Amino acid sequence: MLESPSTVSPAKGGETMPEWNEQEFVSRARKGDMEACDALVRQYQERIYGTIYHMTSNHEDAADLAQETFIKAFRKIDKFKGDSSFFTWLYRIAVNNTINFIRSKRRRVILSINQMDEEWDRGEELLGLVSKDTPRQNVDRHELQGILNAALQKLSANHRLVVTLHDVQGLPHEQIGEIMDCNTNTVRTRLHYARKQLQAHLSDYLKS
Amino acid sequence: MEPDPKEFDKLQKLLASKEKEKPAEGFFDRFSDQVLTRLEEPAPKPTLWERLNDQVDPLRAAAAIFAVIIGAALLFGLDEANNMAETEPEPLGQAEEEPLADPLGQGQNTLAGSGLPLNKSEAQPPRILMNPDTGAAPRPAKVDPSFYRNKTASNTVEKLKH
Repeated sequence: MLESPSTVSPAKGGETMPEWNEQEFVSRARKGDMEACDALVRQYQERIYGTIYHMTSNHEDAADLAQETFIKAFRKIDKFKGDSSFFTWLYRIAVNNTINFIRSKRRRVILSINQMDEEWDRGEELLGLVSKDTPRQNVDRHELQGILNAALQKLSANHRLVVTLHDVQGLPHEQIGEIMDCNTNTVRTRLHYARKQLQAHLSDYLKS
Repeated sequence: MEPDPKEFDKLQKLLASKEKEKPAEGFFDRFSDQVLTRLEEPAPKPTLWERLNDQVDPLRAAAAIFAVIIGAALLFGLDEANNMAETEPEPLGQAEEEPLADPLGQGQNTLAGSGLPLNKSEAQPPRILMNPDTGAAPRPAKVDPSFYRNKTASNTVEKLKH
């Protein structure tokens, strides 16, 4: 069983917790303790929301699906047997929910440009990644963000997921395998093909 | 084709930069309350499919369906075997051919020769037979006797006049 990242580092969002003990919060949440539920939501909300957002590229959909994920998890918390960490189990719910949503809707996702933090707002670092030798050099930050999201949307749900979990969120292959219920070799293969496809879609912007 | 390492590096940096895409400020402050409010609402009644998914283990369900199919096939096979045993053919030459009692199917209320059923409600006996005591007796037709005079019978041969 892999340790969830949040057990190692302090809570990422919300209030800082002196000591994070996932199992204790899960057992309290099982008994209907709303404070424990609140703590679990605050602990994982950014990661869950982030994964869903990068899969859908839409803020409203991501917000709805993230809420549904937590609600589903708390309503079925009795079925959580502890074979994996709560974090991985939660991720699985989020991922399945999102993939089902993407497959059932099959709609053209309206790409939304969300607010970014101040550090990101300068955008110079990102624009520096765009080739200066191509006609695309005048692309602005928002446009580039939209282009990247559009390229991600062209990937299959599984390829998009593996790129999101690994390249955007930085999860290790083993944990992605647990979340996606496949072995690490499959994760690596999917990641390789997903990157190749992304490179092909973004070749005009990446050429050196 | 192997990806260009420089391009690959740029791609990874681009993807990593997506982590900085955040929702509107204050979104995560309200998020937990929204979840807990929705959690306190009564859960929607699960659909039949959801209940099946929750309560039935797919592997066991598949095994049960397989067992039912095998059982049904066995029962059908046994039944067929019994039927075949009951209608075992007699030795050649000893089988009696039963004459067809009603080859045209007239006794079975079917239209002779076609096998189509007769509609009893529409078929009515002749009127004269309906009420035999009503005095409707057959009467001879009124024919003028001169009509037959000087007429030769059709089966007589006329003698040639020389």
